[in-house]
Amino acid sequence: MPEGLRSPTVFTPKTISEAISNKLKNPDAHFWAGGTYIMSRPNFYPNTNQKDIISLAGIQDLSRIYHADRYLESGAMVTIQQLLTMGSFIFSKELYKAINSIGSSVIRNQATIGGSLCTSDMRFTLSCVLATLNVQAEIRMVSKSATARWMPVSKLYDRRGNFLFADSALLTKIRIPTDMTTSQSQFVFKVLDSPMLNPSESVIMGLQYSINQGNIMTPSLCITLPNACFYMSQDFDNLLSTITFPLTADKIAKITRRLASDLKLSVRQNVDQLQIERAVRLLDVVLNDININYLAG
Amino acid sequence: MRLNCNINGSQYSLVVNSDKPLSQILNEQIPTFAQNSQCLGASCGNCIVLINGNAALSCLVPAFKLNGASILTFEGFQKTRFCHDIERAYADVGNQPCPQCYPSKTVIIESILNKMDKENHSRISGFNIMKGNEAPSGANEQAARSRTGSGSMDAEMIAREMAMSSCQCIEVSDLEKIINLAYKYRSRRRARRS
Repeated sequence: MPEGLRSPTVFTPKTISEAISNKLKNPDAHFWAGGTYIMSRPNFYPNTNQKDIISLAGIQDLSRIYHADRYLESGAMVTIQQLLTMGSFIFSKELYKAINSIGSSVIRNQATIGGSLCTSDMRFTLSCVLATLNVQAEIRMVSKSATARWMPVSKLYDRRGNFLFADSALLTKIRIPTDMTTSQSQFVFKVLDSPMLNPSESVIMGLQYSINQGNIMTPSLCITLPNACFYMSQDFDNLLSTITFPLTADKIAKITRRLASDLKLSVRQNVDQLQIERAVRLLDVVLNDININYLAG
Repeated sequence: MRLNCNINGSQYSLVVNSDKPLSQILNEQIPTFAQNSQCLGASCGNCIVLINGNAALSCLVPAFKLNGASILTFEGFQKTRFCHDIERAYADVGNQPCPQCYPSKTVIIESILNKMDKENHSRISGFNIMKGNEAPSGANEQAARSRTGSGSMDAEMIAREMAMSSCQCIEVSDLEKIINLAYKYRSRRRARRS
């Protein structure tokens, strides 16, 4: 063991309340889910300022998957690969493809839902996909009462993509609606470059919508620049809902210009303009595709 | 902390830092491993090992998760009959990865073969679990099959799996042939045994 290097204490709680009690007693300790993001940071080891660890792997409640008629409820410690395996019989084809695009199976075997959603300053594919689909997440506050709250995944982050409950709560489960296949909703998902390996150039986009009599109904758009921005705006969704098909080039240009100006206000400093331009072009492509599909009947 | 684990069939009892990555533990225990893995968590893909049969990047696995685990590096995997299937496929296709990424690509191929096996299996058993042991036939089975693929790997999926290894020494089309051949050899051997 190198000199001056401390071996962090690892707490292995068996229940959620035990984990929260560990956190209350050791405020500096941090929750550890899969660890793929934490360990891929530069200078993770050796590091003299290493915090103690509360490993969530032993909590059975966090590793359960439950399938009801209208939703799939999954614990935060379920790996993305396990979610995908169960989801192959339940999810729509588009949702399956979106989750399948998260890294390779080697990464999906290690990365957990909770870990992927709760990284403090980096947003990955799963956050974007689940926020677009209006997935609900249960969080337990780190307090003596350990109150539980259900909230949409989109409310877990600010516009710059920071996780709002980093030290104050524990994400315990998520609830994915599975009745999308029977409704008229359509889901489009695009990702450019690898969010994990190349976050400063990657762009992730999810769009859920339905078309009724030539109008876009109940659109939900999420654009994520992994290291810079988590963009989900009710105003922009309202703008999308004013779209009437068929679209002209002018209309698409107006919408993409609005997105460009919104993104410039939302991103963190020192973001490459090229990344914003890629996001804008991605929306342009998606709108054109929807337009073509509409015209093709 | 004291770590008890099995590395390539040998039992080890080590005193290590609880957050020490497995790649560094292996670097110290298996000298040949150190030649491949130098990225220290930057996901170069060269440090892939099998932990309890599942492929994992050893630089992303901390020591405290390894108590009682069985770890198989490429050096250990090379001695198994599963590796011979892949080597035979390399020879038949007439192409193989460069010496630098040979171990990692071979282990990734092994994990892909395992995945193909599991998908074929889960297509049947998963359906049974979900639908109360109903037979896996009909429209739902067909729908699941269309989402997960027919059990063989296409070029896009292989490219995504192989993206884990940054070396581009071998074409995806060749990898596709290698994987499908290796899977065929393995299935044949299983059929003979049963």
